[in-house]
Amino acid sequence: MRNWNATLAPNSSRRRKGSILAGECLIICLACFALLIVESRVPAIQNLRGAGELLRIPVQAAVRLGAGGFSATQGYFRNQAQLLRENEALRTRLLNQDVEIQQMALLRAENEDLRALLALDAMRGSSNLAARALPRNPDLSRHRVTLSIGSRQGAFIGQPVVDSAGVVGQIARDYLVTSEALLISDANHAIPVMFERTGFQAIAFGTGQRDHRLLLPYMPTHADVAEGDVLVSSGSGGRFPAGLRVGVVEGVRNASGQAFVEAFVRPAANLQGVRQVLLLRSEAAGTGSAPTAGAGEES
Amino acid sequence: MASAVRRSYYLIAGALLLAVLPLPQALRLWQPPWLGVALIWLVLAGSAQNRLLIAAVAGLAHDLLSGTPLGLHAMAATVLTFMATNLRDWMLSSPPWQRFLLAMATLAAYLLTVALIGGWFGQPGSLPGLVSSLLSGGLLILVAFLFLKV
Repeated sequence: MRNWNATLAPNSSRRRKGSILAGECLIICLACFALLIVESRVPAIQNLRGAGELLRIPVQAAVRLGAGGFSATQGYFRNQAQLLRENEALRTRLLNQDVEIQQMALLRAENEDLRALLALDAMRGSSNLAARALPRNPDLSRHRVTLSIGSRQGAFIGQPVVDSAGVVGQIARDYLVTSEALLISDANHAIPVMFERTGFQAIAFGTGQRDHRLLLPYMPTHADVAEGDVLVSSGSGGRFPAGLRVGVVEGVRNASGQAFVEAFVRPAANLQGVRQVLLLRSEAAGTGSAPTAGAGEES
Repeated sequence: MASAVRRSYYLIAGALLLAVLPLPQALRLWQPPWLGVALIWLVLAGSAQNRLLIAAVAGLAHDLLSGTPLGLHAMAATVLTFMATNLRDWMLSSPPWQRFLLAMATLAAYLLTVALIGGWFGQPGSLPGLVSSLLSGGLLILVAFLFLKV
């Protein structure tokens, strides 16, 4: 019996505690319910809720302040990251625009060349052919340029090639849709020239050098040749029309004990960067005529 | 013992603070019933005396702070604490999933009490609000059970 009571004791104690707890719960719930009813009926107690609001406002304000600070900090870093991204994008854009500007400079130069060629074409009053230099072998010792027009468009062997600055060379090979121009600086090329200042005539040979210089050899020592003299085509031989600019005398050399002087000429045309050229079809050049003496034959 | 009581007071104060935390509109619906979860935790973890009274006072403070009818959350918190206290032994001796389900049941009782009694006194709760509160509260309980030792 004693043992039985000992076993039951915790259960009865728990039950008692449970009923006390249930009683407490019931009382509190009833009190709360009563409070709810009273509050819904009595306006004075509703005002108590207003007092509670007064307690809530500082808490919420503090939280808002913290959240605002957090948001501001977050915004600062977000803006910073955004600015960095924008900066990077702008740099890339600037770089692209720089490249475009460089291309524009190239286009402008090409445009000026074309305008000059057009002016030249109009001035000569003939139906010349405009051509574009195709990508060439970067070997500077090769003094030939492939052009974008060939015999189908009217190019022929021996046809003078000029750019906006002066004589470039002549057609050495004419294919169907392209042609190959021999530059005046080629070692196998010669062009009759005249000193613009004195009218003295000579023949300018290509040197085949990488600097594209021309050479005026075997000139008599009494010839009035000076540095800076401008050379133009003389028209002799009938290949190149007269008056086309060929180059400028860069240096005169008179080896002691020799009866001749020789002069080096810097070509007027940009032979290192041939871009747009004009193939002359003037009366002087003739059409489809055979290469004349004085002009270099292709080797 | 005194520190445990103090800790439970801090826990309730924290829960009340979180309950009045202004949230963005999108998150407002998903605000967990902080006080309910805190009370469940208190019952399971602590052995504080006068749990029902503490719960009622905390509920009353919640009503005061949140502007709900006075006594609404007090009653719900009392019901919750009563249920949790009665289920405490069962919960502590059960496997975790069962413990979680029992905790969810007490939380559901708390939320239902708030919704029903609130509806009676002019503050009806919506079903989506009830469900979202239950889900977010359940998630909170799950996290607490997973990462905190009861």
